[in-house]
Amino acid sequence: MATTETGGAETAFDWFGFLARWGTLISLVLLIAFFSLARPEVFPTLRNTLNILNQVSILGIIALGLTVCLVVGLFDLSIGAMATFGGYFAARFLAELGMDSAWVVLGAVLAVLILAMLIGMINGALVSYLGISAIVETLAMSFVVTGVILGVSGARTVYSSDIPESFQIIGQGAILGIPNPILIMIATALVLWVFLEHTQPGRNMYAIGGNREAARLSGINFQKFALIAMAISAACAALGGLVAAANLASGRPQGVGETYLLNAFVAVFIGASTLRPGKFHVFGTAVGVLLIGVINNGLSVMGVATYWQYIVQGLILILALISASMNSVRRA
Amino acid sequence: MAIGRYLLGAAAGAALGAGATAALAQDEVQVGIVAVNYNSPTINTMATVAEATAKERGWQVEVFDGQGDQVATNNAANNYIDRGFDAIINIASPNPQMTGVIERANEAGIPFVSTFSGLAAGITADIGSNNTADGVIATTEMVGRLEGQGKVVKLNWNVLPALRERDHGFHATLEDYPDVEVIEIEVKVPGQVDDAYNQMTNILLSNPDVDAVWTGWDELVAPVVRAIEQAGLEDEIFVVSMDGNEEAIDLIRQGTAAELTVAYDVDRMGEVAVDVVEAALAGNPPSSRLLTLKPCLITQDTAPAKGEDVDFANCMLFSGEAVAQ
Repeated sequence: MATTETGGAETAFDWFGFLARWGTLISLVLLIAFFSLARPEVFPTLRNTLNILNQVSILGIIALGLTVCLVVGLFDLSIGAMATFGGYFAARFLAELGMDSAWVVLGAVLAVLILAMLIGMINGALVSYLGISAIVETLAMSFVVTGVILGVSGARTVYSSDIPESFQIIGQGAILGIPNPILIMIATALVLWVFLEHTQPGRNMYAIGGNREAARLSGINFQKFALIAMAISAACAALGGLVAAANLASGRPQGVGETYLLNAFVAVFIGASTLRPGKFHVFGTAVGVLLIGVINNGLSVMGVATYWQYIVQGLILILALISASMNSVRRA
Repeated sequence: MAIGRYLLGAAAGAALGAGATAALAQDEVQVGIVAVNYNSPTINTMATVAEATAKERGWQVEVFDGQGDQVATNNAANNYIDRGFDAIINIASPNPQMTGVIERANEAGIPFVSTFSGLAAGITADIGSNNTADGVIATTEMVGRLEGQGKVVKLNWNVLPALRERDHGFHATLEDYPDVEVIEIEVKVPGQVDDAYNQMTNILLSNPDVDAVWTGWDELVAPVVRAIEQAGLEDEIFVVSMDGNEEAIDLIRQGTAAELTVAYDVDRMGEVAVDVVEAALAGNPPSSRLLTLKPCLITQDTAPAKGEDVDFANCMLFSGEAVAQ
């Protein structure tokens, strides 16, 4: 319990509050410092910095969309399937069309994102109007989407030779030396940050996430914002999968989104222990994503075995969650 | 232990002999095909060909995709047996993890035939390749190109028996080449394609002097080639692999960093699986539980034209054969 003495007496430093707010960022800085000292010729270079950002960009795009859902208190477990959906169908559409044109690519990308948003809105409608648990409903939807992809694809991958160059540029090109996936991630983060932090709908979403009943009594329509949040989450997941397909020039019908599903939740929950403990927010998610990227890259650059990456990532998550719970420990 | 295996084999054979002829006497043979990971290109090809071949023979076929879930795959196979199917074909799901299914198939007196699934007591036969030998072939070709020295990155997933056997071939060959330095990477599965790309990108940053990459299977070739190209090292590094999937052969044909692959006749594996089922149902199971097919060495010179299949009947397996011709 922090107390204030009279007459300019000293105030006890609030270690709990400090760690709750800054613990994750301090972990990130310490990890960067450690890896920089361990491999000074490789880790702290501009090339590796871009490399880390490029490697986390797909996860980042997906996790940022998930953040919006979690802000309104809804878990979206369909993001893995939606990422696979985005990558596979964009590649498949373009392979079927067989035209290497930027306009055709733009059309295919938009079509896939709109389809993803519609699926997200169905999720939102089922959850908000029928009151179905979001976890169960989105899990069920992920089965449906996976089934559709496998049915349409016959479980066959669309290979690079069938995917037009102008699509591959989305994942492989660069502007002013910055890889396109990084730019897409930054653009997504900026748009969602402005939306959540600086618009009335965004503030309404925080109000719903804080106390749905109080928000309802204030005239905020949960159903409408559930639709929007789920649509954004699905579109971001599809966009992430699409960037992955363009990056590796292959439309895989399975094994894409599953990789990102759990890591996206890890990133967002790490983010919720950053600066604003217990609150999901775009900056926190970005820090969470970066933390995962730094751990994986740093250990990989040091030549550490893969299983250590799992162990360290898990330990960091536990530390982040302990850090986030500092406030409640203090209150107790 | 060994006696137990012989007894199990003998019991399985006897049960097959009794039940098989009855199955063939029926007009329609029912076959259940299970694959733990149907979407993997090689597995998909084997399963699709086996299904088509069985249907061509007028058999009734059902296919189950485990989507990576071995338990679900085993349950599906058990369901087929309980429903009175005449045979089970297992496509690349590790047989040592299906011993319960194999025992149930033996009890029901029906053949259990697999492809690329490894040896387990009680199976009718496993059709595949000699993966250890294939690992030796790919590694020997790699060492020859390296002139016996250099830095090699090996990416593999040692959980799958076939990949572990290829790994044994890799290490056995390199035992006599102390000047070949190896960086070993165990890729994360699922997510192997993305992980291979990320790990390779990171390794090339810290080890730009890498000379060659050995990947345990062809699915990793494309992301590795992409990482090499992104690092601008496509003229410095080459990639060797095994499987012979369409994408890898395409990259070899195009003259990318993908240098060669030991290609398997996966179409024929699917066909042979059906042949073995038919023979077993007729009371003639094969004498060996491991049936291997000849692979081909695919380089830019031997790669078939786009859209054409590898000619497994006439292809080469060793690079020296091309010189000798």
